[in-house]
Amino acid sequence: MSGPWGWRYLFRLALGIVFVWASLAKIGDLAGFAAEMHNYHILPIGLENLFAMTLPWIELLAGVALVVNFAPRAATILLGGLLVVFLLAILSAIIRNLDIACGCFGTSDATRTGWIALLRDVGFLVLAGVGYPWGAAARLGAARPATAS
Amino acid sequence: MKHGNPLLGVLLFLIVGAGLGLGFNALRPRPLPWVATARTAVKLEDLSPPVASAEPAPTASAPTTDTASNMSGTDGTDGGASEPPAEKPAAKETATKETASKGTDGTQASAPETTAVAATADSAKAAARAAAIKKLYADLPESDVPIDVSLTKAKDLYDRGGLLVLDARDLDEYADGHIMGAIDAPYDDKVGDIQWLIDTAKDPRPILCYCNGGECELGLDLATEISRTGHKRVMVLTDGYPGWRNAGYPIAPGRKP
Repeated sequence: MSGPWGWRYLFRLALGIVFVWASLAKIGDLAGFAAEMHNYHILPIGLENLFAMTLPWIELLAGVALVVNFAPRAATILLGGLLVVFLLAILSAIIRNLDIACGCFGTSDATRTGWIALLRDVGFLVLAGVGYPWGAAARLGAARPATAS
Repeated sequence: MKHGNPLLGVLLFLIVGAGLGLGFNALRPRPLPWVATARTAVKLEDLSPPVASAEPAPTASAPTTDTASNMSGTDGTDGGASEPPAEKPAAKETATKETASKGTDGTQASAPETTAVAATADSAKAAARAAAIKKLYADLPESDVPIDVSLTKAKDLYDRGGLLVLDARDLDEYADGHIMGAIDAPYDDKVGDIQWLIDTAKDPRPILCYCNGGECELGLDLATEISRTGHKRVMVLTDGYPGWRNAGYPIAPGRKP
């Protein structure tokens, strides 16, 4: 079980399901998601709608890719990067003492920005870190010189 | 892609995902504009006063001053608001006659006819109420964007008894204390509730939205959404609930208006 479908896949599968769920909730209420994004006051207002329209679909694609184990490295890097961005956004809201809805799972999620949302995000980031196919990448790197020679 | 640079895969996800998102948005019944516009409000003092209406003065009395009783939610009053309110007594009389007729001789009025008469009576009642509210707030100008109102002006409008007050904060804050008669309308919930926005925009009453004042923008955000849905007299209480409470104006705790 050390190939692309090995134990790390289970972590990627969990992460993929989380993102598919989150993205569908956001797609179902784009206006609500845009409003929640606005509440963070991080993005220029002119970009908020564009992000609200596109971000859930990027999450959905990458989440589905993880579930079906397609391009796992790219999908994990992408979702891991998004999680870092979300984490910074929640942290900035905590620092600015903003009491707003997290918006992590669209308007269906009543979680407020705070330490719980932050810890949840860290948990997802751990899933991405552990689930990343490190071993497969290392084997691939080690195999290259042999096949090249 | 499996053995290539994963960053190329990331780029592909970004491009395809963005394309799908823009495409999906374009197919929605109410697509989001690509560029969001800033949520702004105008000051009441900056608006020109409304032109005097040529319509006859309504005969219906002003709404009750019991604000809470007027806050039972949007009633979906439709375009019948422009009907002369003088029709109300006639319609009521017709309804009474029909009811009496049915009461004495059940075979004379069929169920659909009774329903139609009741609907007509309701419509006339709603029209009369809309006209009365229009008269009550005749000095309030219309605007395509929310109107900022001061504490004293808000209290003046509130005391007239026909104002729809909406609390844009979350339910816990509402339960801790709110303007007496205000309806809980958490912005996060209501902004995606298209039917609620449409119903609220049809409400003939002027609307006052508020949150916590200061940096809080939930009241303005909610007011903006209602304005965009078509209501022309949506106001924002700039001092928010703390200002209202500190002024000693009526407040109420709990989850009821």
